[in-house]
Amino acid sequence: MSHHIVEVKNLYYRYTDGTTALNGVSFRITHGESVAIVGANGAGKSTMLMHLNGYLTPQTGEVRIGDMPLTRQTISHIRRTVGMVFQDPDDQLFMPTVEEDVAFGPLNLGLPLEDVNTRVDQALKQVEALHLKKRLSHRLSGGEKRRVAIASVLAMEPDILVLDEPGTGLDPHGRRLLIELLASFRHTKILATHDLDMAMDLCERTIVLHNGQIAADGPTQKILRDDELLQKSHLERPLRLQGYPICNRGNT
Amino acid sequence: MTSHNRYAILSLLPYTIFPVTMLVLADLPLRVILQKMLLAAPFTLFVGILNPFFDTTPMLQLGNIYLTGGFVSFISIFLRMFLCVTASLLLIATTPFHEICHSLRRLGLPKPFVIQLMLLHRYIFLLAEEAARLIQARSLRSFNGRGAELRYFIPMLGQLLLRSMDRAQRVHAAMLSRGFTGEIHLLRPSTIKNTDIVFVAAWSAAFYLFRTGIPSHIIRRIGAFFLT
Ligand SMILES: Nc1ncnc2c1ncn2[C@@H]1O[C@H](COP(=O)(O)OP(=O)(O)O)[C@@H](O)[C@H]1O
Ligand SMILES: [Mg+2]
Repeated sequence: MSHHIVEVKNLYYRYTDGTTALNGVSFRITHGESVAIVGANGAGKSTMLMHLNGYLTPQTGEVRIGDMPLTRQTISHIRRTVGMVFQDPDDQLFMPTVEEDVAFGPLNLGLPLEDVNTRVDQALKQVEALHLKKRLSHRLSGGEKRRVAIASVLAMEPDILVLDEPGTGLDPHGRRLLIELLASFRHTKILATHDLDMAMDLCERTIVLHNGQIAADGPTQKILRDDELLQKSHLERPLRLQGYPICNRGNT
Repeated sequence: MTSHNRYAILSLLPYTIFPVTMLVLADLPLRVILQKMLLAAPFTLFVGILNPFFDTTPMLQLGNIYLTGGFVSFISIFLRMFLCVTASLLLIATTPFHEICHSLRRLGLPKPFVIQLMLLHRYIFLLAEEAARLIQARSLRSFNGRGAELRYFIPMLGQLLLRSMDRAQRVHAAMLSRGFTGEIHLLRPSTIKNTDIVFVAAWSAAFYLFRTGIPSHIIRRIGAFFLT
């Protein structure tokens, strides 16, 4: 199944105000992998992810999803393959009710109404939010919004899930539920985060971004123990790996 | 309602049955509705307040008190306000905003307008929150009212605009990533039920009856009976 491969080659991106957000990024993610993109604020994570479903087009370099380079012709197909969960669920839930919001994508795919309805139910069931179906989007709690936002992407049945800081705005319990939920998905997953504990729980592989460049790319366990690298990239060891007995209890 | 003449009071009275029944049926908090109505009252007051001074022809006799034409039309205006405001409030209170939008769409309002309305209603709360945060941030750092002058207000507005534009861009990105191509397809969640048709038909019939003036004629008769 080669169409689940994500490949980025030598990507540069500079915003119109002159900020260079990506400064030569290359990586290749294969089918079924789960990869964390970590980095301090402003490291370029969001800019990176925006390229993966074609919201930003490469200024130089190339993005390939499966066998296809990302171009104007392939963009609609790629958007169907790559599901993007944005950082702020309020940006993503723009329709009045949960149901309409989750239906937005499938309706755009031109599916008949019954199929849309089954997809909506399925997606909501997957995130355990079926009971929220008729609720108004703006009245949901932070955790509920996050789950519905994920459902709205799942309803498109993407092969690859891209999530930008999915833990933002969640309390520890909500965060724990989210991690369990994401762990249950069998998609290829790419998630940007500065929550290194979350990266440890979900991803075998980690890519460290710093100042728009890849500072490291390797197994999560190894990278998150490399103090010199973490310090250089303005990151900190996950609490669990800091060697305090109280944090280690129950986690190993 | 506008088709009644400007001195109409009695012929307007039967219409009050509509808001009253709806209030009871929908089990709405009366106090809230009345409070909201007070907001509209001053406007009507200004519109009608001068009528009693300009129009002094005696119109109505209640026992031995004469009411001038101006006063009667003033009351009439107030009654109309009451009916209009309660009717709109009832619509808002009993119907979720998005269903009003869907109905507007079915009544033939162009889709772009309906979508605009929906998005407006979706994001106006966030906008208000954002504005409140800005104002709080300012007041936490302003002392003795310093920093609260108008010249600081304008950059704050600008800031709010920039934030809204950023948000609009992110929302657009979220739409695009779910296959948006310039056309929003709407689910049609509510369909018209038989009870709805009966509801509309019954009230229309009632309003038609009120308009013919027969009920008010009856009220007049009864009133005359007691006053004389
Ligand atoms: N719309 C924009 N216009 C100009 N500069 C931007 C914009 N968005 C982000 N940047 C800049 O690009 C850099 C990378 O930002 P971003 O990709 O959002 O980082 P991260 O998601 O890792 O926090 C930052 O220096 C940021 O200030
Ligand atoms: Mg970001």
